[in-house]
Amino acid sequence: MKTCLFYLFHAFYVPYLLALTLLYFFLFFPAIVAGYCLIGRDHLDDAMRRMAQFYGRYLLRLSWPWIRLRTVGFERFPSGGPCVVVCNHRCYLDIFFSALIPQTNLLVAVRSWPLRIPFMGWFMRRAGYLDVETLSMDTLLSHSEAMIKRGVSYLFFPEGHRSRDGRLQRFRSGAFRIAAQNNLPVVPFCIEGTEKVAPYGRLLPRPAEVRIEILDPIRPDTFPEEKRALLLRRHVENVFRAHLGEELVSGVLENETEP
Amino acid sequence: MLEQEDADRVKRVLMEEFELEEDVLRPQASLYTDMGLDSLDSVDLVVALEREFKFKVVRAVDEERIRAIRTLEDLYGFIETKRREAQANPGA
Repeated sequence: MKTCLFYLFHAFYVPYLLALTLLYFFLFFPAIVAGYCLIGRDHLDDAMRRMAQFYGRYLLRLSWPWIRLRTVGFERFPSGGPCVVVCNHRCYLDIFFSALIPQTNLLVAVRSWPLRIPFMGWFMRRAGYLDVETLSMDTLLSHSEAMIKRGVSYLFFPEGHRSRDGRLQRFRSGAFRIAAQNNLPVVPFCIEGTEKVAPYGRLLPRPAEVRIEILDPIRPDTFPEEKRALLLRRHVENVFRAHLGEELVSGVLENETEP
Repeated sequence: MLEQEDADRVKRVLMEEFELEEDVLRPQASLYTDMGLDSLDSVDLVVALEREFKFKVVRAVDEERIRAIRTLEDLYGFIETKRREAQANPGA
């Protein structure tokens, strides 16, 4: 009887999420976007990004007790200005958990395929999400200067795709080039537990505890100018590895310097 | 064909950028199956090569050539072509 009730309770979670989503998109979404554009005088893409983040927060806050959240170190998040948030990636639902980042105008870097998903892809394009698989680095960097002037921050999953075995994968450079060029602090946003919510190959979420910790922000100007982005990338990857208890990366950079 | 000194520079770029071991960097080694690179890495690779060899990759012109690169040897050929073009049109 107890097992039967347990499965019934968990089976209810996905329809409940769908109901919350429908409610949000038909009721809150138009009001929030109109509110930001008309009253807050946001650009449409700014309003869409804020709205996406509120959607993630709304789902997570109403997901208790299926998803039990534990947040640590949020007081470390830099205040007053844009930054580049980098997040490890273990589950396709990590994007929802990134909604807890305490900055409401986040431009997300994605691969090409999510932009082709019906409805969701349209939404992402409207929100100005960056296709880092197709855009050249020059375009990304020149675009970033304009966005940062508007107060927009960036969210990258520098591993590029989610981990199949839960171990951290090699980082790509895009996030660190943007941070280095604009001297923006890089904020490591470390998620643990989402691999239990939906392990690789599993679509439907299941109950789990998720722990999110914001680690100390890292300033690019603490690294030598030459190869700054590369040194920054390697350092941030090692910060994640040390935090997750994984083996650190070493490299062949001459005069490698850690801050 | 790229001179040995330049081939060594390419290897060094790959080792730095992608944390690869030197023994995997054989001319016939596949960038994808042997080195584990993917389409996201091509963006980083292009930036690293542009900086090392001081040429410019124009996406509209070079897209097909980049897609055709499969092995390290193909990459050497691409760099050689770009350098020849840069020498022929120094202002470009």
